[in-house]
Amino acid sequence: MQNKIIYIIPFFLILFLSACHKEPKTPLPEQELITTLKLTLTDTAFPYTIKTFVFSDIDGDGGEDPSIDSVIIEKSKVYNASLLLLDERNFPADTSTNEIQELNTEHQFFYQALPITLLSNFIYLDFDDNHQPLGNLFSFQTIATESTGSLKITLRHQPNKNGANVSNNDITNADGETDIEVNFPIRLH
Amino acid sequence: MAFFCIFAIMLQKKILLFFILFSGISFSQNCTIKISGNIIDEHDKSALDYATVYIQELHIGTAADSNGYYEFNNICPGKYAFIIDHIGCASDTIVLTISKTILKNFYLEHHAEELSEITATASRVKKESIQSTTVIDSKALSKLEGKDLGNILSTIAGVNQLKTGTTISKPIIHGLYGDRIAIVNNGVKLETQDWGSEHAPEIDPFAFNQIKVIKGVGSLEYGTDAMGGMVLMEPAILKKNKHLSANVSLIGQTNGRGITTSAKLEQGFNNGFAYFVQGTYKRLGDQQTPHYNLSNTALQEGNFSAGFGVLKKTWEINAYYALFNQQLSILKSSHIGNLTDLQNAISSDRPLIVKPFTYKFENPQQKIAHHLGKINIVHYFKDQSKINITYSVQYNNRKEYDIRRGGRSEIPALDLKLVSNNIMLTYDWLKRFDKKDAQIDGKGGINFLAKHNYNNPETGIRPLIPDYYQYSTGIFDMEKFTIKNFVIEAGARYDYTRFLAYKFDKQNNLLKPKFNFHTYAFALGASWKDKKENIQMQTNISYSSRFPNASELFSEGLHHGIAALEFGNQNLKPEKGIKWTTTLNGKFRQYIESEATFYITKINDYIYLAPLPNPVLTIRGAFPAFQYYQTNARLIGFDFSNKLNLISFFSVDLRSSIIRGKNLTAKDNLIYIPSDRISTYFDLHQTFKKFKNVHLGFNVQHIFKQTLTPKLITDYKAAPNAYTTLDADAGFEYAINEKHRIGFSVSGENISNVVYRDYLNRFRYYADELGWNLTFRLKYSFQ
Repeated sequence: MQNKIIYIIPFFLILFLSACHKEPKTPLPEQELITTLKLTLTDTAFPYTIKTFVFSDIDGDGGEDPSIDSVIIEKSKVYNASLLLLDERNFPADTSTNEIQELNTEHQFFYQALPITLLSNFIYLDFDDNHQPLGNLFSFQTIATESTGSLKITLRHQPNKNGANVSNNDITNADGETDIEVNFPIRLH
Repeated sequence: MAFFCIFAIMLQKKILLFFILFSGISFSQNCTIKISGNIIDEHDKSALDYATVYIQELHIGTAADSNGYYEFNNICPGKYAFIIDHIGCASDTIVLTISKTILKNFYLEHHAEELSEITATASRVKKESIQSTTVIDSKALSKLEGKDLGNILSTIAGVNQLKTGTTISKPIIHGLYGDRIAIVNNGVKLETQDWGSEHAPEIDPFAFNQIKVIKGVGSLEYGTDAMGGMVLMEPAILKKNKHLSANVSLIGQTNGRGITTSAKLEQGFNNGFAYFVQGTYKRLGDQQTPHYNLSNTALQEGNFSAGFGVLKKTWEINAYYALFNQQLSILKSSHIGNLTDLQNAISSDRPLIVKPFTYKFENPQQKIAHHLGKINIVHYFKDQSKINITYSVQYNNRKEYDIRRGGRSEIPALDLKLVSNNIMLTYDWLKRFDKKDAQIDGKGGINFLAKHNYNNPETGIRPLIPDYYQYSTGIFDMEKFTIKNFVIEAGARYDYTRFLAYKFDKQNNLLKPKFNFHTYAFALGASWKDKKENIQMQTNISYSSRFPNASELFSEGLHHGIAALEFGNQNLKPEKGIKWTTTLNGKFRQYIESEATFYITKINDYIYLAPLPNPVLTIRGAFPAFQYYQTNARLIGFDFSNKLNLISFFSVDLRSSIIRGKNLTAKDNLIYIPSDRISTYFDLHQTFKKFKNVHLGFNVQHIFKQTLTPKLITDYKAAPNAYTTLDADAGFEYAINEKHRIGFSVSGENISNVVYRDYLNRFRYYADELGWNLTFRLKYSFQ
């Protein structure tokens, strides 16, 4: 039998500080980021007047606000348009358009003008491997009066290209996931 | 690696702290008495397996094994009240004077309701805790086999689940979830990526014999931050001299065409060696709502756990390992690119992508692996005190796969690894004042925790949260004073945490923000019960604090499921909460058993996501943006459960809970607060000779609409309407002989196939909840 045993347990508390801390490796650059959309418009009547308008957000989501050019073009004209997508964080810039061309059956662009009458007759000028619209190249016509509005360009990933009217630039039944949605302000003079 | 690292760090030391833990005093007595025996049914003399025996004066209890055998060791001579409890039996108290080692059999009047439903046992307040504690025991668990942890816990009044789709569920206790509740796996606090709402706890409920939920700060052993509550997962108890026992379950379910199998072996030998081994495999395909298939909701799980121990009179060594491995795919329609997609998804009354049923996994999906290992050494002293040293290591790897362009879908979009090491040393002691029927007991301890969280740098996507190291050290002490039927408990804990983050900014410069956090917890409580334990009252007030997690400090990125940008806030301070809980428990013979819990929680500097004034414009369009802010919040709630048992073979169980959450600074409601709910369970049960636990039950549940939603945070879709669901279950067990038993049961969920959506499911924007489901369970047990 043990009489009163007093247990006194002292502990040495050790606070640890930075010792063998591995610093993380620099992560691989973000590969799928698209920073820039370039819209190039050619007046079909005067093929030498080429204008380029840019939406760019170099630092990706958040951070600095993107910069957007105003599209100032002429009324009552037919324009041919081409789109170029870039990742401009690197020099020279990566052309994201190449990836979309490679996977052309998985992508489609759509165009919507506001007010609807501002731009009309959107026509797809390029097609994917299944002969369905892709939309890097397209054409449209401007209204006959001086006015302002906007053009929304949307890129859908894995759309349902067989949806009703999807091949006629109607996004309603396109489903899929939005990769790009850019609004350019427009002024017709 | 990290393991060695810690020791290197520990040696490297700068500050030494002396801490005198305790002084315990033992008495000159022969405290080596062993009391053992069997617990037997008074009527048919059969063994009452898993009954519990509790010595009131000593506040120690034990559960009988499957043969009804129980055992207490190292008891001092004296007069003790033994309380014997068994599901479906009226609890019995027998007072005995103990002077030497004896064999004592207890006889209980058994009402043949062995497999009475969950809440019969769930509403029982555990006697040795003065906190409001609810136990889901092995019998109740066996009725819920095949369900995930969130689902199982939500059978308790006051516990809800925050869901992301059909297969991801996080428990909410009294309105709080995530970091604010602690989940403890066999004495080790689960260290996982619980900062994400779509990250479910890495727990396989099959591995456990019992789950305890403490709706309060609970034990201070596991940190200062469990202001919502604590979930204690308890696997098989290693026991000496335990016959080989085995369980095999085979479960099939119609919704999702799923199959689950699980097996468990337990054995204990004469020489004190004991072990258990357990494994589970689960496979589920796409699940269905009443009207359509939920495309891409498959799930696969392979889990394993094992424990072994050497149990001697004065010491014990235990080792435990648990592996959780899960792959689950996430509803395809919930993956959206921008706000326009979200609006399209919401305006459609069904998901935009509905394909035929499949078992296939497609992106988005998650692959999660969690390993937990522990070694535990206990030394028992003659005065019933003990020292317990536990070392545990955990490794969590979470890979999330997204729909990506150009063959990158094979590369995880998020690949995070978290290694945690924890060393804990505790001392339990007991001092009895023999003459006055009073005692003091206490527990104190220290622990060191080291965590390293790191990203796979090759995902090609900016990490949502940065790499970090976290070192914490904590000391705690709890004391409990018992005199007759009155108990007072007080405790305190302090934790110091050093948090070192390594974050790359947008130009890939490495930033190294460092933080020091001091967090505290205090608890004070009292409980009283009358001599027959017909009335029991408990009241607790506790203070707890939690430092912001890596996500709240640093998160930066887009959440595809909700089309929102989320930003962390490095200026956050620890949040501090005071919770007051009062529980009243009343019993009238075996006829009525009621429990009511009232609580109020006030949290200062409550961390929450608040919208930024302007949306953020990106190349994918404009996104609403949120940032973590702090406010003062208050939660008030009431849980009620009442069991009526007027005839021996029929019981009615009523459960209800109400909670209100307020953002006091903004004078607004809090988000994700469970709405009011009420449920009633009708249960018919009887035993016929070899057919045991023949039962038939119906559960009706009504969930009210959440009308108190936040006004300052725009919700894309109004809170869904109220709904009522109906569940049913039926089954029996057949005893082939004394050793072999076969059980069969069928349960049906949402049997009326109601179409509904739930406010606490983050995918309520996209799809309805599950349609009807039948689950068939076949179980063989050998003892």
